[in-house]
Amino acid sequence: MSLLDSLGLSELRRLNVRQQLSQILNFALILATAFMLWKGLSIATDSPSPIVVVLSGSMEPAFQRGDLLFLWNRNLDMNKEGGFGGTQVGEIVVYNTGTAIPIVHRVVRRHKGETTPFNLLTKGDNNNADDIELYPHGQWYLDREKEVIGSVVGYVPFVGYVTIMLSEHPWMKTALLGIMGLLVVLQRE
Amino acid sequence: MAERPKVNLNALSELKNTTDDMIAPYLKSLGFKQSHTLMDVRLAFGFTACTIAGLTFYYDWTAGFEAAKFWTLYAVVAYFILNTALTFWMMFVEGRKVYVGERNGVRITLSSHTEKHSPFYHLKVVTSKPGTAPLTANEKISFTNWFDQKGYFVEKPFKAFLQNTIPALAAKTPEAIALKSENKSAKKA
Repeated sequence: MSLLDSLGLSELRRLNVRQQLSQILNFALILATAFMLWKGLSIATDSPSPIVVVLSGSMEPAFQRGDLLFLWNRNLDMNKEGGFGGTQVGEIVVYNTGTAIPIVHRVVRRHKGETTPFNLLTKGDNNNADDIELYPHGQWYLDREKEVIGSVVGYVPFVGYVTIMLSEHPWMKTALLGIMGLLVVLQRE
Repeated sequence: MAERPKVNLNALSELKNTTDDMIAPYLKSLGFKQSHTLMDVRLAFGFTACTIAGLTFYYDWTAGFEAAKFWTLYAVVAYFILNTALTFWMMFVEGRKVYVGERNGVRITLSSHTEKHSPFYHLKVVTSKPGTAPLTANEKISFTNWFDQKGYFVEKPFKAFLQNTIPALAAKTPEAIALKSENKSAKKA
């Protein structure tokens, strides 16, 4: 009670239940809309993670740490005539083979597998060797359908660096979320 | 009202919100029954949308993107339909309305707004009785009438203002007479 007063927020105490619910709703709708926009983009691109941030320098000079990449994952076909031009040698793909972070590397070889319809071999532009060492033990290729989460179709340099900062300094994330939440709940306009 | 609300006199939205908040308790004391339909519909739209987003988040989190994407598509579409409906409701149905209430078959709808950098409270009163054409009254009055120099809300002049602006209230209450005589003496001086 007196804490609200000393913060100059005595107004909050006067709100009735409906007004309080409405304040909570304002905040919830911001989170919900952001999440549903993200899911909508996921569905449209058919990728579980349609926007990723480059975390390593293995694709320099094409991509630097912090670049924001936009992915497209409906090009599952091997042929150029197939859906959305297929995935070709020279394209940059993002894959996730159960490691903690997705990897962004270029396609250098393609083949049809015995059990899988379409396989890729990838390599980082800035690396000396191809990615076989990065694949799960005993695996010599990537399964386009199961392990790749999309081809890079666009990028914005550097803006993703914020997320690198936030993940390397977790307290920043907590502070940012707290401040935003507080502002939305306390403001009525 | 046990305590007197205090506002920051430099914040126009605070002046308006506090004033709006004071309408319902006073009209309630005069026997008006407030209708909460507008707010309830807004809350229903909003919280349904948020529930959909919450369920989508949970399902996507537990089942994974591939398994969940069939329902995610429908959830995303439903969410944005509800969100659009909510926006339309707030813009075109609720608009600036701050109070809807009824007494003895007479329905009053109060809408208020302020204009940028202008310390005036604009109040529109629509009075409707079944079988007769609705009556509209517009009033523009300075906030200085019911906020003192320190920003405390002063009940009496505000009640008088409502008495004089809302035709459904009998103008012959002590507060109204007091304000009228005050105005007269101000003119003389």
